[in-house]
Amino acid sequence: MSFFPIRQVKARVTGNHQVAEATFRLVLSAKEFPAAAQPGQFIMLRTSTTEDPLLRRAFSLHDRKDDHLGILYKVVGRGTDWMARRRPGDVIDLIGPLGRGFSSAPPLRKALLVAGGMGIAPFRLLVRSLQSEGVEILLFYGARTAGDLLELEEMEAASVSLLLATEDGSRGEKGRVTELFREHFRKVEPSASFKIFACGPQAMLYEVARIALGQEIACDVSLESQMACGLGTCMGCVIATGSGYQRVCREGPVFSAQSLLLDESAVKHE
Amino acid sequence: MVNQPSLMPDLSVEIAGILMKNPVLTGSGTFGYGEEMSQIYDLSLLGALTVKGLSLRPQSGNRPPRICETPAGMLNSIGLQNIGIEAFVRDKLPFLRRIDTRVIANIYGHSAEEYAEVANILDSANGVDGIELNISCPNVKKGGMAFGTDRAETCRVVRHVRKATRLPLIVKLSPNVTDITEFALAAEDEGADALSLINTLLGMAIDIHEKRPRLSRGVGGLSGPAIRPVALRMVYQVSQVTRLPVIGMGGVVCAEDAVAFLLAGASAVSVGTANFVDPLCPLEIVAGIEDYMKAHGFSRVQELSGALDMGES
Ligand SMILES: Cc1cc2nc3c(=O)[nH]c(=O)nc-3n(C[C@H](O)[C@H](O)[C@H](O)COP(=O)(O)OP(=O)(O)OC[C@H]3O[C@@H](n4cnc5c(N)ncnc54)[C@H](O)[C@@H]3O)c2cc1C
Ligand SMILES: Cc1cc2nc3c(=O)[nH]c(=O)nc-3n(C[C@H](O)[C@H](O)[C@H](O)COP(=O)(O)O)c2cc1C
Ligand code: FES
Repeated sequence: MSFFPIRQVKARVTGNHQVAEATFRLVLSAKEFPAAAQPGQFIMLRTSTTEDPLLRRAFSLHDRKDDHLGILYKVVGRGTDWMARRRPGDVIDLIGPLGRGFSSAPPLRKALLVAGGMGIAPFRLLVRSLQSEGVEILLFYGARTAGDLLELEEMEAASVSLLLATEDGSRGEKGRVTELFREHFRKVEPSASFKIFACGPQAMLYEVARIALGQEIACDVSLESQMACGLGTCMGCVIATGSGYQRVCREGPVFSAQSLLLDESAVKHE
Repeated sequence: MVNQPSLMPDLSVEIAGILMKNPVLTGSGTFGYGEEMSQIYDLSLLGALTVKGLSLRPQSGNRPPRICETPAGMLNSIGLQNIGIEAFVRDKLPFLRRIDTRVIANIYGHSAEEYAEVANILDSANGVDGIELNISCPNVKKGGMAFGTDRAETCRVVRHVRKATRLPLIVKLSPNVTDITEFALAAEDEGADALSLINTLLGMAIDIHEKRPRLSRGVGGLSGPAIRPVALRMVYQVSQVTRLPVIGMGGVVCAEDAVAFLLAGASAVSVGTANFVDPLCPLEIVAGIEDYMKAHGFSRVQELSGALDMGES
């Protein structure tokens, strides 16, 4: 009998609670989902039972406990709207775990997490794994407004130091999280035992990647892209890297800052 | 005519001399090089798999965004990003050789000569059961669809490749023509062993807020359930005029769709976009065809091909 590391699973909804404006936490019971899933990996959810909308939607693995999976999501269109209308007992078809997650190899001592908006989603699992390795964790977290800052209690309970920013100044610093992050290095000397982990909008990620390269700190960023398969077969989700176009769903979604081509015009086309 | 129902219908088919255990294939560009999908299920359950379009040299493909969802379908403009024929033979074929299914290599070139060169390399590479000639990709500037929408070019490229390989030759037709039967007959005349259709339909989507096309190249290929009626019509038309076996594709997502293509005249079906939506669907289609055969008294799957009742007396 062969071993299939990626599974298509019919998962049962056990919870789907609103946690902020248009934002929900979906909990699914999925016994057959592989236990070996890593922080930063994702799943593809079927968010329809008909031929339209057709394609699956990608979501970071937000939580994993016993037989349960968690997804933190924002309603932005038809698929996520369908998700918000699922009730306990409903069945959702999902595929995973997919892609390459964060890597936190020693000599990591201090982790600098940078999240923008829904980019907080994969950090619950990452924090749990870093904590078990005794790593000190700082979270730089930015959102539009105070109400959009999620997971604060969970992060505090896990002794994560929080540095917050909101665009309207309703909580933390007024402005962007990247400014807060850049500011940090005016006070702190970078060290080889630091590592940066970032997830959020692409512009934020590329900015963080530039800061990381400037400070010579190892940095993993988790990217998004339009996906059709999530499995590495369609070549639809690529981004420009130093070794050409690579699949966000397969070589990513987590890429090292070094591997990203921060200027896409550098890609060679025939 | 009513056949005797059989307990174990025979699903095997022979297409272009390639013996397949069932009539369900996977479409080029929707199945990678097979490896990725082998992490989800046992590929030996497929009739055949078709790998991503291969060219003489590696191709970087088009700038993103390359895909976008459309009503009951999607547009793609991948631009045939692939590792090139040499790397395929060296790095991917060894894995495929170990799987007990048929492997079809989809190939593409910038010129008839280049197509022939790729075919020739595959001829001596053990492990490929057939070649599918992609003369219908809408997403590359040079070559691709240009060969499949000009009758003289179709003849030229098929003739060149025919001379370059002894492998079974399947020609994949473009739906972006006025009369697809002309191209089917052209390929047949030049020595094709089978036909596959359809490739994607040229389409476009626009983001009205950004006032920009949703794909970087502006236009792309439409696939999925949205194109099924067009594909079915073309498979029917081509089957009426050719003696060659036809592999039908375009929006097949379930056994009912597959049976419709077989009835329209196809000898086998290929599953494309549906692999993204439901990776296990080719297996469900195999099982569903078998159920249909039992229920309707077919003992061999070949009997379905063209068993369409047009209601003419
Ligand atoms: C690897 C990965 C992990 C993700 N993790 C999460 C997560 O944990 N939580 C979460 O809420 N979302 C996550 N997303 C984004 C999520 O996939 C999209 O929000 C979702 O597909 C939207 O589907 P929809 O049908 O509701 O919206 P649609 O109707 O498809 O689109 C509505 C709007 O959302 C935009 N949009 C659609 N897909 C994406 C996308 N992939 N990225 C950015 N914008 C998009 C569209 O351009 C459009 O403006 C992730 C995406 C990727 C690729
Ligand atoms: C993302 C994508 C990539 C494709 N790449 C190729 C290719 O490399 N060569 C080819 O002949 N057809 C390619 N096709 C076309 C499919 O093989 C198939 O002919 C078409 O999508 C119609 O079938 P479907 O509706 O089942 O997807 C591609 C289709 C898609 C969606
Ligand atoms: S989404 Fe298909 S290759 Fe990444």
